[in-house]
Amino acid sequence: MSTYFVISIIVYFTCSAFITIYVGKLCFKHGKHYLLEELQDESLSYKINQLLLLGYYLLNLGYVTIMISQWPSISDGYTMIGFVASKIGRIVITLGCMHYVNMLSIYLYKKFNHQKKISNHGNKFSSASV
Amino acid sequence: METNLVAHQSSMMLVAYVIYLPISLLLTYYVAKTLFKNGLTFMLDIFHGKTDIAHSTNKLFEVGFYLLNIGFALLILQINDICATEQQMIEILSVKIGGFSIYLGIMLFFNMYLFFRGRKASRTNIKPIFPSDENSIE
Repeated sequence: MSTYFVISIIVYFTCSAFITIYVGKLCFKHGKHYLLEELQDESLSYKINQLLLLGYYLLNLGYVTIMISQWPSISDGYTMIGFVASKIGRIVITLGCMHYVNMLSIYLYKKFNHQKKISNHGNKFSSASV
Repeated sequence: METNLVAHQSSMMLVAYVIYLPISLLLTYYVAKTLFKNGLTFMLDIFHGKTDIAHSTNKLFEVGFYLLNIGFALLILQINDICATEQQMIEILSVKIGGFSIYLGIMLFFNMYLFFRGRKASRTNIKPIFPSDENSIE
């Protein structure tokens, strides 16, 4: 194994792990409002948040680690810089896309859930009036 | 003579990387800071003054913005054309930095579109947002 390969693995893994863990902690801290809003129980939402954070770490750190196995051999320093940057960039963009997909699904879930609740209320009122 | 040319090309590529990476990261940081400092006002308006929810939502959008932009900047870092002379290096750099700035502008307008849509939805929305409001209907 050439030294370039070792350096690129170290740089890639530390940057990707650092970004994953940092983003995970930020989303944990700022996303707990949304969990609290759906289930008003504070301790339950804290535990669910912890479990989601753990699942997120497992998935993302595992994906980052598995991607190392599919690298070609790296011969010189200049292709190494470009290659490592493009791998880290791919991981970071994947994280960003999943982030937006999560926010979109929370938004859609809230919208359809509240529409269903309102139509249930409407049914109750109409049946009560009959 | 040949090794001199190869060394010159490598040093040109290195200079290009060293110029491109800080410029793109600083540009991302500056645009994100401006957008989400002023976007907090939109969030406060959408959530009707509840500061912690507005701050959390703003932070989540900011995280997504940073992720997509830093990822894109790193993804297009690799120089695939021949970069042997200063002229080629400047041309390659201009394509990369210019393309990245255009992408940043598109992301900026996309986020502003999301802010405006949320503001419009919160103003015309007379349905209760939180389940606790619906319990009071019963």
